[in-house]
Amino acid sequence: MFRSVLPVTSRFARATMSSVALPQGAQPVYTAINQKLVSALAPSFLVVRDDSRLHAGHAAMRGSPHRETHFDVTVVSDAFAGKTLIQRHRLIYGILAEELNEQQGGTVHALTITAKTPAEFDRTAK
Amino acid sequence: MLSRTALFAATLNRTALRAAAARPAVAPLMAMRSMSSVSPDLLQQLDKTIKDNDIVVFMKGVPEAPRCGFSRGVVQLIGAAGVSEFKAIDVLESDEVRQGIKDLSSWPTLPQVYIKGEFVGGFDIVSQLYSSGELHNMLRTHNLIPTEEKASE
Repeated sequence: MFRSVLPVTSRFARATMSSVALPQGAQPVYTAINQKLVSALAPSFLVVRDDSRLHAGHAAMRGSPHRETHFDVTVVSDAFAGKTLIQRHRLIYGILAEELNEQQGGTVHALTITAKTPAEFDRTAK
Repeated sequence: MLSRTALFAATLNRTALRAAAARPAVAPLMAMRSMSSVSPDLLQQLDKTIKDNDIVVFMKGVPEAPRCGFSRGVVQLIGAAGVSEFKAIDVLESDEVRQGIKDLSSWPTLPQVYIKGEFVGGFDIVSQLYSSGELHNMLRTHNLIPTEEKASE
């Protein structure tokens, strides 16, 4: 299971991304998700988890040529302040539209989203 | 949280119902027609299904045998909230329905839950609404589950 935890500050977000050592080669979608969320939302905390292996056998995935299909993202960003759950999800769906659009070659079939503001995240962490 | 929930419950009846009646449940149907690869008739039909049923779940598989963990999850959460009957649509039976509902709601993933014509969300959102008690409030406001008093009798 590929997994990285990137507690990044918004100030260093871009610099951190470029210096993070991602597993070589095999994960273009994982890399794109990380980079797009970082540059669009300047998250203070970001975890992208590739759950694809867990779903490899399920109905809709049978016969799929894609390996990067299921992701779980936890994003903490000021960008979510004042937004409803639906608005937060739509914001992320918009940022990752290319990855999610199956009709245009996107491979991401399921995206689990936890989107919180820093204040909300502090509260749940305590 | 409490005040937001109370406010939500209080305003839902008047504002949301009127708003739901005044505008399409999700995206304007006319706009979707030009953008969607799905036939206008089908989009119309999906829109009508959403409006004509109290609770609609677009899911993979059927409630008795979901074929996706997230679909299973929303069915369980709705049941746990006290709902005994809802309209379920198996999107695995039709690629056109599967794409159509995504186009209609401008929401790229499934399952999708609709209550009284309004898009509520997918598994993550329904799960958070369940935990916060907002799902119960929403269902109670629309008389889709018994009020707490009745339930405890």
